[in-house]
Amino acid sequence: MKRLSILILAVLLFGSIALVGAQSRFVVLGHKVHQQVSTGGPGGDIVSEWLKKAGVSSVEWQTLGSNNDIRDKLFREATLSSTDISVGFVLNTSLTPAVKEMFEPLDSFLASAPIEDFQDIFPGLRDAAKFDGKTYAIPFRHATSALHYNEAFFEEKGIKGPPKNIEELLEFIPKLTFTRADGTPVYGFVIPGKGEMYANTVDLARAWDGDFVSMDYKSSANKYGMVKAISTLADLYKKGYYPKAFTSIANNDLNTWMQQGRVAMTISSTGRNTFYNDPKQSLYPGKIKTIPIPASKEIQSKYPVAPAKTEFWCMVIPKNAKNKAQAWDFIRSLSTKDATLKAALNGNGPVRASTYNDASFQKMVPYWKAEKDILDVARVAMPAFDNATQAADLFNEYAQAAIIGNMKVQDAMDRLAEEVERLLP
Amino acid sequence: MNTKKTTKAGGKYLLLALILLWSGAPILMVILSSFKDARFIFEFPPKIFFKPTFENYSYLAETWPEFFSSLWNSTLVTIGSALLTVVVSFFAGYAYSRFHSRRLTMSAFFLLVIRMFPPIIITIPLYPIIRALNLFDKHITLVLFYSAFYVSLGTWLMKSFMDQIPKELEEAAYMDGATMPQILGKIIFPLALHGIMATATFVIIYAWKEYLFAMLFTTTKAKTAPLIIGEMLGSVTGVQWGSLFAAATIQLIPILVYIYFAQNVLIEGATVGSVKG
Amino acid sequence: MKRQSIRSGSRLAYFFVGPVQIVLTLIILVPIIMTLILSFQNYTYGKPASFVGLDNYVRIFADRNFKRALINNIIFVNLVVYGELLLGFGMAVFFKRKMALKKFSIAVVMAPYAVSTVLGALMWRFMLEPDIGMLNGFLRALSFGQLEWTTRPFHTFIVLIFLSIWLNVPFTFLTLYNSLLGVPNDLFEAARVDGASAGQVFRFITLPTIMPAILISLMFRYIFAFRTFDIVWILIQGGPFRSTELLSLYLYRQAFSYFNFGIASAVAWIMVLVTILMGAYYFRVLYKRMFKNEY
Repeated sequence: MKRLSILILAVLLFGSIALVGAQSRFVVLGHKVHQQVSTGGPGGDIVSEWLKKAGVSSVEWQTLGSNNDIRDKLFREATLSSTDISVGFVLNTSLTPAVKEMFEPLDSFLASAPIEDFQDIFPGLRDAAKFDGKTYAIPFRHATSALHYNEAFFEEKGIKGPPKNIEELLEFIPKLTFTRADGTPVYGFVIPGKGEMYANTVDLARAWDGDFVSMDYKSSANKYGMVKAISTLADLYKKGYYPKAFTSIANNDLNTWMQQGRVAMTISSTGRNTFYNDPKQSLYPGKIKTIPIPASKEIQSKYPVAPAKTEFWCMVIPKNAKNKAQAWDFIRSLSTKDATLKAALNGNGPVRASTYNDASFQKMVPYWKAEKDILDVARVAMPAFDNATQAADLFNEYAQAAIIGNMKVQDAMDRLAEEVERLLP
Repeated sequence: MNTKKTTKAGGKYLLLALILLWSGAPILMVILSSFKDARFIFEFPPKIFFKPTFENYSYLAETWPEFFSSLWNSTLVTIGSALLTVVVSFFAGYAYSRFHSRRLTMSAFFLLVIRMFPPIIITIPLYPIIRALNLFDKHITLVLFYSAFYVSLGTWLMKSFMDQIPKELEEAAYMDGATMPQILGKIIFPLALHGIMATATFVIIYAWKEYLFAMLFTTTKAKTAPLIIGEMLGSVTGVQWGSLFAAATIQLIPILVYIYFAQNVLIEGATVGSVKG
Repeated sequence: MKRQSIRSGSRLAYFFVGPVQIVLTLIILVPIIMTLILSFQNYTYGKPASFVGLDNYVRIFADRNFKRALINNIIFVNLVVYGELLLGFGMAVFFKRKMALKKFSIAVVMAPYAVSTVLGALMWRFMLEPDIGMLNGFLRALSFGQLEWTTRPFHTFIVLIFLSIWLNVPFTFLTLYNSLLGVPNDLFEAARVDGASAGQVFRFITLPTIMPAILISLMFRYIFAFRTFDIVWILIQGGPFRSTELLSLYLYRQAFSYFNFGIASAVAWIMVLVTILMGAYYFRVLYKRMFKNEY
């Protein structure tokens, strides 16, 4: 027994010596896109500027393929006694109240080494990373929903688009559901039904200012906006204007559908415009246009454009990180007006209002005005709470059943709202 | 007489064609798609004859250069796991085949039962342990895990294949004064080759494709190919299907080549001739 | 001769078997014990662990999602494993015959197992697409109904079973094929000389010889198929409306979506118990066939 404990001790000692020796690394965990927009492209390398200032030889980017993987690893690391990771990029939807225990509150950093013009960052993004009034994350890259439509189909069907309000959009759908000459069916309007369906459906519900869970934590699935959205889809499905495949389509699949010309209108993040119009991948390059989601006539006085959902990647510092001051410096450096602009020119979705006023950015992103208008009123799909993922899974269950017609829409939404109510704080 | 033979042969090859079609059609689509212009990969109806292009491959090399280094990591880990598993299973399988006791039997079933536990849950306590032991981001860690996961199957397979080798051969060798290493090397090993091939194949396929443990326990130096493919699938700017299929094809071909050549060790009725005379 | 090898060889046996047992114990058993403890706790990120006794287990059995997943799993596993066995066995016997292109064909047959599960599933999803997929086009041409696997749970289930079989038949095939190769040809010849029919040869020579391989592949496929996750997740994430959720998805959700590590551990242990129960019969058969006779 004694020999065993000595052996274990020796192993741990060597292990920790190795860890100590590795202290001069600066490790960032995130998605490949964060590395790409920070280190390459027309805007230049914003990380190398920081490296020189901070006297760090290089940044070690640890990238993973999905937010789920990143969150999994980041949370596991953050609960160890100490971690190599200095900065983590994670989606706002992963930030639940549990992060208070895992990530460093940033208010003291914000006070001593403030981020340049913090108020310039869109309020919907800035405030979503707050818990108990404290800031835990700094937004870096947003993905905000807009309406994309295929101009070629509109022309073909003789429709004068784009739709000015949601009612018009709904009228267009049957006219835009048809079969192409080569036999491929085209649907007027499709949103994903697999994965985080609540987020995609909220996009539609926001045309009536609807919600799944409102910002003040009220279960809203059975309220007007969401019910209207689900009923619309259920109705379309019944009449054959909505694809049966919707339960197996996730965001990336819908993107392919758009490129393949299998859908006339869809809601996805603004940045997809580039992807849909890519001549190397799309059968309709240059034909896909992006506008804010048209609001319902009923709310247009308050919201000229629908308060779409926004999602964003943000930067956090694990509580057990070794060099938090340096980590904050990194975050700060990536958040300056200049860095944000450069990253935007590299293809990032900028979180600052001022970036949208920059001429070079406007030139690169033809739909910049639409994006800015949306961001002014956008809010997150659902506020953060501990059982958020369970609520999301419940949504899939009931919404799919309602749309397919297995349950009556109001029934399904009532039951959904009730079950979600129990999960809310 | 001749027509009966030809119809039999015809029937056999028809069945073969059906089997190949059923097994290979989606694989063929993956491979063909990698040579298609990205815009037409998902077109309907899909074309089997088209003008091939290497665009996707060059795009892959351009945008995901780390894919190729990850293939090397995958190779190291896979070969390491295969060797370790085969060696350990060979000896353990022999022991279970030739020696018997209550304790040995229980330990054999222990091997079986321990595999019933879903690996993803044991990652929860394992993660801090691997971290503490500084086994993070190392090829050897994955080799140890993958082998640990497949020695059970390997041992049972080896035992069952070795059971088919008649004990008379070893007994005769004993009487001739052969040592254990000689028996294992000259008698058991050649006759158990198909068992070794089966074990090795299963480990190789598993190690080559495995995602969860590779994702959790590597970061940069030991990153394996499935992780890169996962990153390609998880692109937030839009999945580039062309290069994805190119990567998948590159990842698939070595395994198929291995399986093709590994069959050379499969000699039919391997024990024939060794018992006679 | 036998007695001598047992007495003098048993130490050798432990030496041969020892490394396996030690490695497995350290790498797998120790964490498993830790999860057993975890299963009696309430543990999630951001809060210290607290002991809750059997509470997790009670909550799990009260969860309708768990009950549904459990039933789905049991049905799924049995259909898949026996389907694979039949097909794998058929193919193994088939490939024993002489034929041209045998090595190439076997490589193709193994390809579904070798291809990345994600890509295989994606390709099938494309072919099975309700509107433009080839399969439904084919069915339409034959005036059969459509396979509405995206909206009708029963159809979804069929597709999942089919896909699982497609992906995993090579495992059973390779095991049985290799085992068939080990059947000594002289036994066949002797039997034929004695005038045995093909059926008798099969029943009394082939089958008994490869029975261990059949049992092993059955047992391991039971274990692996019980944990099927990828294809269900990729195709439809347990939909439509969570009707085809399997235990592994339920487990994944508890562990890595909801971070209920205590509950997830409990689910894992329940899965182990169910697997043991389902496999109990085969344990006995395996024991009798491969171990008992040898004493």
